[in-house]
Amino acid sequence: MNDDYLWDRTGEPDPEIQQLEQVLGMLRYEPRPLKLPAQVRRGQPRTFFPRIAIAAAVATMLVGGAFWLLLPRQDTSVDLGSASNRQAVEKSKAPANAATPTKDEVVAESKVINNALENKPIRSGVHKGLMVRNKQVSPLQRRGTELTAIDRAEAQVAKEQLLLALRVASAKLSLAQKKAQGSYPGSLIRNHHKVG
Amino acid sequence: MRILFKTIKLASLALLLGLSVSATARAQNAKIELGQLDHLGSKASETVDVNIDERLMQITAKFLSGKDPDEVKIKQLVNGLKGIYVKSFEFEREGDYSQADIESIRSQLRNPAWSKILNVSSKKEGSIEVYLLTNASQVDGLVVLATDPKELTIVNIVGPVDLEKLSQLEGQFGVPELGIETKPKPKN
Repeated sequence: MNDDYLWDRTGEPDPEIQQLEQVLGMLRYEPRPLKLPAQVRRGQPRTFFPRIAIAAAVATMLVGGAFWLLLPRQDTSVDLGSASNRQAVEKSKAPANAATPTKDEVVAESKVINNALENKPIRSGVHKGLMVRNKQVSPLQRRGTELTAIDRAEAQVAKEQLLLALRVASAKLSLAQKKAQGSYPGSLIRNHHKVG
Repeated sequence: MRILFKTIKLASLALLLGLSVSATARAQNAKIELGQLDHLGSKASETVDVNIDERLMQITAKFLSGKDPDEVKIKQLVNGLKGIYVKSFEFEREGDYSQADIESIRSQLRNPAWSKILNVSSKKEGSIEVYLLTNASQVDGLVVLATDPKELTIVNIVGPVDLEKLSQLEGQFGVPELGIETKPKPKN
């Protein structure tokens, strides 16, 4: 028995091989389009989900930002329990028309305030009454004040120049008017102004 | 409909742009070029050179007191002005400036927008010419060109100016009268 059938399908076939061919032939490749089973449902593409997610994220950020801006900061004030601190606060709340403190009182008060401030970290919301503000002028503000000073100096010079210019203009106009009055019956300038 | 709105919007914008450009151009026309006279500064014995542009005018107006009656008058006078430019040269000798120098100013004032409202001339005492740039009933600019054998003065005021008030200012706000008309002239 030769194996030509297995090689090129010539010669005498073996019945067992033919049977195997029949069984396996059911599974051979056939070029046809895919047919989905009837049970499988084709749904809409779920493109809405990313949109909702983005909208939710934006809304969350907005609400969070609003809370951050609107809610008052927690005021962890200086411990006012101690007598010295209380004294400092009472003094800071004293009316403006109270008697002017002496130099010693001011020094003592500032020491008390400094002690009170040292008990807390700087950024922990120091009591506003005790807060010593270092009035620092930003470079922009400083530039603004410098500009004002320059403007003032410039305006002063310009004012003098303006007066000089008006003086010259007035003198020449006045002279022209007087000369015209001497040679003409009326002032041309005045007449023109009335017409205009 | 949308196209109509777009067209109306564009037309309005173009109109606004045109109006602003024409207003700016008109205001700029009132300013005459005086730079060509700068060379006379080296020959002159006395020079007055005043250049106050709109910005400086605004700053100065802000710093003028609203309580001092003299400064109030000046404030009213300069209110709305866009500039004041003065060049005045006084020479030791006659003929230190030429007719070409005067002509460079006069040529700018030959524009039909300018009208010469006054011209007083005398061979001995020189001449004074007053030019106005008017828009309807409003004065938009003034030029006073005063020439003398030994003096050349040009005053250019840009903006609405009240001539009567201006001519009456001499001797006021603590400034003594210049007494130009009474200045004794040397006999030549």
